[in-house]
Amino acid sequence: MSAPPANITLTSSDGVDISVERQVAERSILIKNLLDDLPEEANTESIPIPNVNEVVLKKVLEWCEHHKKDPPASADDDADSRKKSTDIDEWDQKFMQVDQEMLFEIILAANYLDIKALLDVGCKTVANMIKGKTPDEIRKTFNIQNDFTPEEEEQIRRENEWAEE
Amino acid sequence: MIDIDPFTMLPPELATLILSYLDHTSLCRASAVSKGWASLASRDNGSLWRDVFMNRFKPRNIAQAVQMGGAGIGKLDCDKEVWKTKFEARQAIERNWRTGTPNAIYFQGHTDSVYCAQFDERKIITGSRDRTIRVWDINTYECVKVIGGPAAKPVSPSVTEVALDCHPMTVHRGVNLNGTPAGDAIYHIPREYHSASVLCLRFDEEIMVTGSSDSTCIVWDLKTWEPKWRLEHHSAGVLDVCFDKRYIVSCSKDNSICVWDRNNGELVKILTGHRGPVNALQMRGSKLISASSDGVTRLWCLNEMKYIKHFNSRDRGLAAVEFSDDGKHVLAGGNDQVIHKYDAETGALVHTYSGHQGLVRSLFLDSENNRVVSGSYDQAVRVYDFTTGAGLGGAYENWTTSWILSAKSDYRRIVATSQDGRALLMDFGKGVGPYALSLLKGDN
Amino acid sequence: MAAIQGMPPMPNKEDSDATWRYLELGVDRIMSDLKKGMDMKTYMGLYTAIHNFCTAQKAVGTGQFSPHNRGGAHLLGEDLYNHLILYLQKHLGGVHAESKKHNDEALLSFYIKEWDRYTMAASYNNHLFRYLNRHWVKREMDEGKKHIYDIYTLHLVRWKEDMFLATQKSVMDSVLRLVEKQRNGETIEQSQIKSVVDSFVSLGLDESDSTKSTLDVYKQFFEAPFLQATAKYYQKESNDFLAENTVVEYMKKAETRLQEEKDRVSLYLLSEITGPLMRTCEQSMIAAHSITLREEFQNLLDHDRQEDLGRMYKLLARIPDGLDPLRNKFETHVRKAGLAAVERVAADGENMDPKIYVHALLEVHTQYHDLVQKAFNGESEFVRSLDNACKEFVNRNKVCKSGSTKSPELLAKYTDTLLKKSSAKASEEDDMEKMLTQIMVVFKYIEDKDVFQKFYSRMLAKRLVQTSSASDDAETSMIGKLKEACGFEYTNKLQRMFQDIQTSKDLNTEYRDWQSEQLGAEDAKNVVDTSFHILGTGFWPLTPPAHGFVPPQEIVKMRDRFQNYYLHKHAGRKLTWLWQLCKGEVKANFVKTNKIPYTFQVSTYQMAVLLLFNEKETISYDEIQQTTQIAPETLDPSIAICVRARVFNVTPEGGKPESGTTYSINQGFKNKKLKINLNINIKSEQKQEVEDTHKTIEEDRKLLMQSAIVRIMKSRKKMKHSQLVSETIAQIKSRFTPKVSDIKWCIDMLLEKEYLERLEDDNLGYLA
Repeated sequence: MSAPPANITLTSSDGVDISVERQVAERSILIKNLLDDLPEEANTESIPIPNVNEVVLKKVLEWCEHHKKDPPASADDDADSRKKSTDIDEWDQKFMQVDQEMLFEIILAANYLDIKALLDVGCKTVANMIKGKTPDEIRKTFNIQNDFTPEEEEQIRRENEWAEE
Repeated sequence: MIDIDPFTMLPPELATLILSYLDHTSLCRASAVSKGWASLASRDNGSLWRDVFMNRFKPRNIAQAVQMGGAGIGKLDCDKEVWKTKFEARQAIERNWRTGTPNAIYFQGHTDSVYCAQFDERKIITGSRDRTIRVWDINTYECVKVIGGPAAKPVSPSVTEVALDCHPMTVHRGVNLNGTPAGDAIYHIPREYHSASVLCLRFDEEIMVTGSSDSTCIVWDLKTWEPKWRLEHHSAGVLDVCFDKRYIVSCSKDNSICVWDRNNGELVKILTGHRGPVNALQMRGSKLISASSDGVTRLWCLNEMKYIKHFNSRDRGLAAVEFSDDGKHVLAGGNDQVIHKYDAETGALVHTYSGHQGLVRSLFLDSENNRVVSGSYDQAVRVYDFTTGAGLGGAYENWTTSWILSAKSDYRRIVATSQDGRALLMDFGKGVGPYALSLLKGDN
Repeated sequence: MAAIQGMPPMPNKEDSDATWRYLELGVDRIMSDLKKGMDMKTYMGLYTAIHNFCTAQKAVGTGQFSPHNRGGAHLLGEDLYNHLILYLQKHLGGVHAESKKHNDEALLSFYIKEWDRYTMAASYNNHLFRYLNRHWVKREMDEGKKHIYDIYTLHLVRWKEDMFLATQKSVMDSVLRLVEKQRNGETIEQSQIKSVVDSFVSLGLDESDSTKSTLDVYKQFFEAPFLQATAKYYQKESNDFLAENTVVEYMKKAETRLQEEKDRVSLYLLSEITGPLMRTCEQSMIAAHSITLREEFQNLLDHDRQEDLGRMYKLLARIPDGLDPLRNKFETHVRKAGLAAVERVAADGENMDPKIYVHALLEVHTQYHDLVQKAFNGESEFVRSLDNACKEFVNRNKVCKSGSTKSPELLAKYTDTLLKKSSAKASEEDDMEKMLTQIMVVFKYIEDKDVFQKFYSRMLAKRLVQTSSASDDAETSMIGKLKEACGFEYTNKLQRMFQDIQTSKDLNTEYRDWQSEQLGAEDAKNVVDTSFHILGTGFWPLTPPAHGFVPPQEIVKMRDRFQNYYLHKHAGRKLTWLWQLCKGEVKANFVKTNKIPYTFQVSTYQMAVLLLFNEKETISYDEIQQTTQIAPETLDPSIAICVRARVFNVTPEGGKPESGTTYSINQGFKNKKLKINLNINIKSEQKQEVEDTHKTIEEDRKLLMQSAIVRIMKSRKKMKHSQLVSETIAQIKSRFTPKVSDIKWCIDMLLEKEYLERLEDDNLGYLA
């Protein structure tokens, strides 16, 4: 049996072929499973990624490239077993300094491609944008309309009074 | 740059994932952002609240062989809408600890000093100088069983006896059933019993072990309240006991420690080395820690049944000792009225918790909730933050009319026992609805 | 590149029905046509369709606030999950229907083929539905929902419910028929069974934790019927075989069968079955026929069929309590063999030759010891049976009729013959060591070890005094062995005797040096060459002569000189002369016929008699008796030997040693040898000695018992009578088996002597 080809080709939703090291692409459990499941001869084709466009895919692959040596995420990394922290390492923080749309696209892509660590970093980034802010500040951050009536707003405030201490 | 509401782009499972990284305060604020956000952060999103709850309250440590009280997280397969309620309940209980406002419940019946107590989510068991062991329902506050020899059976209190003072926060003062038909009905004379003071006790789901001034331990079957074995070897009073799935360990005024087989009551090993009465014991896995009046705390390995090392404490005459679950810190209290927290490795003093104005007779460390509860001859119970040593919720002074002999706690309660013959339950669930409190109860 | 044949374009992600129709096509292809290959487009298409369907709805809708739009993967996931269940049920229904068309091996092939195909598809589906696993399934399981599984496990659960339960019976029947064929010697496709086992194992799901598996399904549906069939098969086979073959043949068969079954496990079964399978086989092949097997045991023993006995041992050792009856039979057999062996040689009655006797005992022991080692694996229980039997026949047999003291006596005597110079003819040291070891084998079984000790010490004393030991090494070795067996106390005196001889040697050297310094040249010429043994009174089993003796002047001189020397050296000691043990050599200068004078080896008594003839030619019996003062019972046989050797002439001819008989020197004495031994043991003396020995044993035993009783009471102070008796027995057992009546007698003695007192309640007290 010959060694698997070092490089594989991904085709983005907008039809662009991107050649990438197999090890990098396999940060995506979807791609890893696909390569493992399909017979060798089917692997010569390029892999269609119908949900991710070129820009986002490249961004995601950039992350994968940086993290290609990370230990694989264990199959059932029980979220309950550790305290959730919103700490993000420096490289990832920089990586995530993108506009909101891009950030959310990355999260969607990570979710679709099944890259748990990237998904976590993305979610933490958004969580950090919410944390410690008043409702109004949050609305400003994400350009959200307050669609409550004053009565509704007052009711919500009362309901959550206990948490403000 | 365009700012977008992320949740208009992301599916609910990802929105939930993002929100689960928030603390409860941020989460509650988020629910005030918009109707959509309110819906996402509502109690209906059970898995979100479950994550937030567990993130905050899930026990970090593997449960000890003998668990004091409850874990305070309730059933894991509860209805998803109640996770937020559970969170609110725990939050309210925590607030009561900070403000020092529990309800007080008094348990009357022992006719002499109550030396020891342990409780779980259903019962409190106390042991007394009156040679009896009493079992109380922690929810209905009734005495359900009194265990002792025929000679220890109490008679009606004399008419002239003045009722003991209770604290203003009292919600229940127990009725003394001694000498009444109801009192007789719950009196149980087992095959064997202690012929002197019951000094210490511990129990788990199956057995209870008591130690007494009569130099013996009795291992009880918790189903029948009958003795399984009597452990006889010590030549003086048994001052403390502990056990796990393998061994029962007892320590005594006779300076020795005995290790017994939990499954047949046979003496496995006698550990000697202390030069004074051994006052307190703790097991941490295969490690055993013993503290003696000789001022030395010894660490033993129960796998090899041998002595590993010892720590010399600064002062002699320690009345109470406690080890942190990770074995890194030692708490010691005694005659000098303060509590010392030492680094177990180096022996360096980390903190001194002050406040008591009498001998510190009892110490209990609740590692899960980071609280230290102390009881003193100054008739006060004090609560400290384990990490900082700061007092928590003030002192509970004169809630009893005599010395505090033991005080234990869990996430919601303190059970203290006193020389005045009473046990006192301080329930920090005050003001939390019974339904919410019931959600925090475990499977048993 | 063309899209996969038959795959429609991706459905609208919001359309549940369309999505499922699309997925069903894909799943169906994976299920039934995976071999034809799967390409990337289809794979990605299916995964993406599921993903898109689940994520179609956003967390926050466009403006509307409705509790129902929070479905996402959660509500939609359930929809897909249920669709999949329905699909699998229908699919498996078809598989099951198809399975009914097959039987036996064809059914197995079908089942395995379908299983392989299905599980392969399951693992594909598990990946394609991974989005469901990650979100919806995980959440459901976190919330403690029962009967929600990850997609792979779901496939297994469906197989178990919709396929397995309905077909397992037929499948197992086929498996069992196949195994039966193999047991009957046919070749089968055993990999099929292995596959069935594996598939059954895979279906063991832990209901409380779906990430774990159990062997429950396998145990219930495979192991149980398999064991049942095995039991049935071997019940029949062993009954049939035993009806037509010998037990020995049967055992061989069973051995082979057991090995076959054991091998079968590694061929295609689960190693967990080894224990139960072996037990089932053992029950059918051995336990069910254990009575028949055991009945053959005696026969095999009688014919010494070691190999077959070993076979039987190995078989019966496999079943619980299988060997106990054998051990009893074996013990009885060995005892009988021992008794018979003794009976065969005991014809000589009183004059039993110790060597023949001991060899007879040893032979039986050796034979059965060998059997135990080789056939019974040296198993300790059989060793114990052997020991019991040996102990029995060594102490109670025809020779020992008069009492168990006969065996130790004979053993001691045999030891003596081995260690004595005369018999140790050129016996190699190794041989000697081997023989001593053999003696210890018998010794181990001797109950009255004190009797052996008594005889042994007497004979050792003789060997040492008469310097008739074959080798010091052998003596030391023997004492060492006894010490090892019985402890220091047992051999203490023996060792002291040995030491005394050593000390005496040095003493003699010193004495000779001293003597030559003291004496002038003239005196030195007339010195009689002497050697002395100083024997410590307490250690030697010797008593001073019972009667008087007037030694001849020559001896008196030597004695006095030595006595002076010794008592000067060790003031305060007392020397008692054991004349009866002294001996010497005299030269017969009176014989004129020979140039070189004959030398007579004689006892000191004989010497005293002979020296009388230096003064007179003819001496009467009475004169001899009066001059020497030797008691007639010693004197008479001493003279008789000289008469028999024709040293003396007797008047009247043939006259008995009594008043009136006179003796003169036979000047015409002739003998082929120059050295003639006249110091021959006297029969009656020997017999007397044996009797004396036995008598002292009885006395010693009483002392031993009394001292044991006193020792016990001293430490206990107060004791029940019966308890004291049993304690005493326990303490003394290693030396001899005391009789209860003797112990009681001793207690009475001690009460009388006021060492003990009677207290209330049958208690005895110790009086200091």
